[in-house]
Amino acid sequence: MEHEADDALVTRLWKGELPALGILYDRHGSVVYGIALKGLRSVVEAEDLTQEVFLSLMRTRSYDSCRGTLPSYLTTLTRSRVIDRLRAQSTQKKYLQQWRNTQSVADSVTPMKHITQQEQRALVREALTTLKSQQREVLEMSYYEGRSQSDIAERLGVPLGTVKSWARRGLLQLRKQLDVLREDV
Amino acid sequence: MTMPLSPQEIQELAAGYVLGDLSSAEAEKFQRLLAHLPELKSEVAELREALAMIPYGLAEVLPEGGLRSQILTAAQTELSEAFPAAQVSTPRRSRLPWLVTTLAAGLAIICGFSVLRLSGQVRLLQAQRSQVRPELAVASSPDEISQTWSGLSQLLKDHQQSLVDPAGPVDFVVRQPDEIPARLREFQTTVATLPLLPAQRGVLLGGSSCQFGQTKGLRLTYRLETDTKVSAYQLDLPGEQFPEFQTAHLTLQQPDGTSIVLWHDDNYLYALVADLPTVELQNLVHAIERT
Repeated sequence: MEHEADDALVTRLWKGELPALGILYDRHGSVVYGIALKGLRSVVEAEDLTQEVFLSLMRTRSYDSCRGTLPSYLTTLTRSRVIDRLRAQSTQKKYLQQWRNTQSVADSVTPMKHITQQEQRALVREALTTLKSQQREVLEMSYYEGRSQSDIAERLGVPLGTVKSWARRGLLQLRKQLDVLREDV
Repeated sequence: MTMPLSPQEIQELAAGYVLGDLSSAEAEKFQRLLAHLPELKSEVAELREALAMIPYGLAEVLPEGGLRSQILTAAQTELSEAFPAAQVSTPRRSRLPWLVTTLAAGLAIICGFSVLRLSGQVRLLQAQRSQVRPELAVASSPDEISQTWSGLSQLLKDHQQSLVDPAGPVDFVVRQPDEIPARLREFQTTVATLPLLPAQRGVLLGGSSCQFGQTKGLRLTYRLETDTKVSAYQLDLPGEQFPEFQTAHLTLQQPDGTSIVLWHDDNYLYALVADLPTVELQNLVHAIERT
């Protein structure tokens, strides 16, 4: 039971079993909250958004395991909701558009082995350490701070092409490294 | 004839695609590649998955312990509506209009424009009594709730699904409102009765047919200047099913921030739904009514 798969828990939740939501929250609540807090910089708003995300998982039934894993669904959904709220506050339109695009995941992915959130965190941290510092900086600036790449280029005083290249190679490296590390799990 | 791309270049294009930073020339190139290399799709999916993992690199921050129970309580309220205990009872014709009974089901209610905020089921029932004809406000039995709940929850669900639909929120795009009636097959309406928002308040993106149980209708989707999307419903409810509001409008607010304003005329029930403060949504209703 301890390692009941996320998908099975989501199915139970959709059948109206509340305890399933409790387990899902225990597994993924802190990462959802972490993104919300990082983006919104307000505990109250982050809590509110975390609730919104989990209720949305229950209510909209738009999670589909064929399109990606639950962690990826939740982080993407959270990010999109953070963007909605930031957008209400400011006008970083170009960046918003970019992240909107990542919403339309429609392809199948290799099912990930079930690993705990702690293992997941350790894997990602380790994978991120293999990125060059500029690659990581650019990826994180655009992920958490909602900056467009031209904005980042201006801030860092480097050409746009360089920023693009750092971000793309950084993402490729992250994917490659995650694959390698998961193989080892 | 352009040079074929190296695997490395293709991968970088895929990464740029996932990051949303392709130039238009690159985007065109990538679309052509996607058409010829089906395996690129799984590459894209894997890159999206990797990107979505970035926040796992954050130092873990734990929310306050109270958040868990707050979420579970909110979920419990919704689940008890969606899965009422007496789901398999003999359907009997309810005198309770479907909307009014939903009021008992855990939404915070703001009645009319007088902004009366209530919570808790008992108080909700009391509010219901004070706002509707006494004979309609008889405390409802579970089967009545299950029978009558579906309308409003379906409407909310329809609104929410339209916002996340990858194909866009509307079934058909229109330039002018007078194109709308002809685009609907199952639902009869006229331009004069449509819930039309003045153009300066919001851009009409298009319309969609809807059906909630036996109730047919349409949804118009507007985009406000703030980019918030608003769903305006026009539903064909037979007269006797109309709830009788003491005030002209009934405003509901969901715990997640979604607001709903309901009103009706002799022929249709209207609803405006959006993730907006209730006052803003009410202002939009006023604007619609003035057109």
